[in-house]
Parts: sequence; C-alpha cells; structure tokens
Amino acid sequence: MPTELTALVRSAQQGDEYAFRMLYRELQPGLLRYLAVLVGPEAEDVASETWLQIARDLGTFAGGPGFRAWATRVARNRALDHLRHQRRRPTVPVPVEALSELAGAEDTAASADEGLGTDTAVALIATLPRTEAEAVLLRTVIGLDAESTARVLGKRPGAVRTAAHRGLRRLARILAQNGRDAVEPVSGGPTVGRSADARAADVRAGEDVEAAQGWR
Amino acid sequence: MALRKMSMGFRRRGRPDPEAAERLLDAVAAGGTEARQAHGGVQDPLANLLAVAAAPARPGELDGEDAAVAAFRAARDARSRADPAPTPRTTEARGALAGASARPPAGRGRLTAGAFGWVAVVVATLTAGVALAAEIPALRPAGPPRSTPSVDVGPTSVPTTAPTTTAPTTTGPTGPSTGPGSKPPTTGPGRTHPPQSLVAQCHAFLTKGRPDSGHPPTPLVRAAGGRAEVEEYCRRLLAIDPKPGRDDPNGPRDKDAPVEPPGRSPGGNGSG
Repeated sequence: MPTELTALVRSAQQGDEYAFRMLYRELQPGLLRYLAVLVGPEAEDVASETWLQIARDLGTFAGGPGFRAWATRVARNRALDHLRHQRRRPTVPVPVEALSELAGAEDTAASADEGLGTDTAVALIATLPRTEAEAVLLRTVIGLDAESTARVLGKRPGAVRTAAHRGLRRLARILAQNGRDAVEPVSGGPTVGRSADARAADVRAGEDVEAAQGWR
Repeated sequence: MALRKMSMGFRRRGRPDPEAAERLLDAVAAGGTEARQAHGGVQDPLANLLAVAAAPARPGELDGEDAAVAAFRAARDARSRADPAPTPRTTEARGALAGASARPPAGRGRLTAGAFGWVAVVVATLTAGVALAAEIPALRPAGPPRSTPSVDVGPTSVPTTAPTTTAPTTTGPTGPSTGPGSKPPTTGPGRTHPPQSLVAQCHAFLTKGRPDSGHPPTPLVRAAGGRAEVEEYCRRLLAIDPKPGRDDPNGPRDKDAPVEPPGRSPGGNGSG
C-alpha cells in the first residue's frame, strides 16, 4: 500500500487527475474523522480547505513514503487555524443509546454497516484528552506509525506511544463501565465530551504552534 | 480474531502493556475492520471500537471529491500556465516522460546544433511536440557538451541547423505523412545548403591523419561549438549517420571513441 500511494502521489504531481482522485478516496475518510475530533461539525469545511491546500502545494511535497503524514499535517494545521479563530473546540456529541450499543458488541457490526457505528466510535475517542485522542486516531484511523504520528503532533515517538496507550486504557475503562451500567455521561448532560473550555486550553498550549513551524 | 486477542491481552493486565497496545494499534491500522468482520462481529469492545472507527469510507464522506479534483485541476493549470511545460495527462505520456521527472523537459531553445540535438530536430520536424519532449531527455545525456543557442525546430532558421537537410536519407519513408505545419526538410533549399557539407567536412576532417593538426572549416567550428570540440562533434555526427559511417575510413578505432564523452557532463543530466 505505501508504494502504491507513493506512485499515486508521483502521478498526481505530474498532473494526473485520476491519481489525485484516488488519493482523495484513500485519505479523505480518515482525515474527515480526525477533523471531526478536532473541530466537530466544522470538519467538512476544514476538510475542504485541507484538500485545497493539498492540491495547491502538492508540488512542494518532496516525494517518498511520507505523504499520508504530510496530508494529515496539512489537515491538522487547517484545524488549528480554525480553532484559533473560533477560540474553542466544540464538543462532539455522542448519542447515549449508541454508546451503549457499542459496548454490547453483538450489534455493532450491523450499526457499522449503517454508518452509525463509525460516528459513535469516533465521538467516543473524541472524549479523550486531545493528545490521547489524536494519538489513537492517527495510529488507527489515519494509519500512521508511531514515528510519523510523532512528527505530525510535534512530539517525541515515546510520548506519542504513551499517549496512545493511555488513551486505549481510558477507552477500555469507559467501555467496560458502559457495559456494566448503561451509560453514565462523563461530563454530565446528554452528551459525552470534555468542555469547550478544556479543549480551547489544549489548543492554546504553545505546542501546536511550535509543531506547526517544525513541519516542512 | 487476532485483534480480539490483542485487545484482551491489553485489557487483562492491570498494568499497562505497551506491546499489546502497539500490536492492537498496528492491527487496526492494517485492516482491523476486516479482522472484525471475519470474526463474526463478536469482539472485545475496545478492538471493536477501534475497528469501527477505522471502517472503510462511507458514501457521504466522499462528497467533496469533485470539488477537490476541481481544485487540483485549477492548481495544475495555473502551474502549467506559469511554467509552460507539456502536462502529461495520460499514463502513456507519463511513461514517456518518466526520465524527465516532474520538471519541464528541455525547452526547444535548448536544442543544440550537435549531433544529438540534430537528431532531436529531425524528430521534431517529423512528429508532434509530445514526441519531442519524450525524445529529448533520452538524448541529452549523451549530447554534445556545448550548447549553441541558435536552433529552433524549424530547419531553415539558422545556419547551424543545417544538418537537418540530411533528414531525407534518414527519415524519408515516414517524412511526408507526418510532417508538421512547417516546411518539410525534403524541399529544395536544404539540398544545396552547408549541412550536407557539414557531414562531408567532418568526413574530410577526420580522414586527415591527425585531425587536430588541421584547420577545421569555420562552419564546422561553429556547429561544434568550438575548435576543440570539432573532433568529438564530428565523430558523433558520423557515428549516428549511417551513410558516411558505412565507408568511414577511420575504422573501428574511431567508431568506439564517440561513445565515451571524456568526463563531460551537461550538468543537468537530462532533467533540464
């Protein structure tokens, strides 16, 4: 797959429209879900901006196997810009009944087929602290390895691994708890999610700006 | 199944198990959905959650595809306007330009009056621009080092393009049908023009016992790009011209010589 992606990138850089279309289909679902965690309902808009920039800057990508990470970084930077303007990160609503469905494993295959499961799963991951959520998503939904994930997040690989593991443990706990006693929203109210203020604090942390500047 | 085991192993321990976590993450990234479906849907909740999150594209997620492609098209066209290089849009064209990378192939102004440039000119006069673009990168690495900036595609523009008048002997069979809009090289003026004599001059020049002791004719020096270049230029010219090569009196010794340019590199190794 990586070599196939590399070949597509090379063709697209030479002007091949079909190759670019294939790149979109390969990357867009993961990017959109990742963006949903970062910017909530604005994800589609930010994804559009992301692809505009990818189309424009494709020629500056040096080639090689790092295109997935490069595109993810573009998406992340667009999302962070978006959040800086908004000054907050919206909470991703998690349908409570869907969450309990997810914990009961038998039904999830069917719900995934209907498209419900994916949104719910992503929304549940979005309840993690942001670094953990990003680490888990980049490793699984986007499909980056630990090193690429670290580059995208501007952190050390060890820190990214720790964040991902912590996120997995937290998710496992939530699922186990929900399996026992229906769903008890983490932050109260009808939706599960960290408060907008907490998210905004994450974004305001200098790490993102620093990371964005380190990327070429 | 493997996914489930990993997740269970990860979860069972009270202490974190980084290895199990890494395996789980890798497995999901490598296609956890398939693993989950193969397992019949009964899964550990954590592995299931991750697999569902990484499920294949759903229809609504690709709604922006046409807009993205339109943006790509616009950016590409803007680039090609700013930098007028042939834009390959088909697989065949891509294959032909593979050696030229994404950068524009050598422009027409970079054709040289040397032997290999001369071949390119012949090709250019007989075929369309795409063929020209495809041929030049392949020819350039072995081309004469000195670039005479005078050559256009048209065979009658500058004296140094004179070799094109030998085109009839090389390309006669296909020439008439594929000629571009410009004047085909088979027409009269070229016949009497120096180019034919360039070959003859080279011939004469090389057949003297010691080529470098003679005085090469001025057109030859100009075509070669310098007096010191004349010998190599002539050897290349004759080596690729079957007609004079046939009765080349220099024998095998000189036939081998042109193949190895003495350590000169055009510098751009063909990528332009």
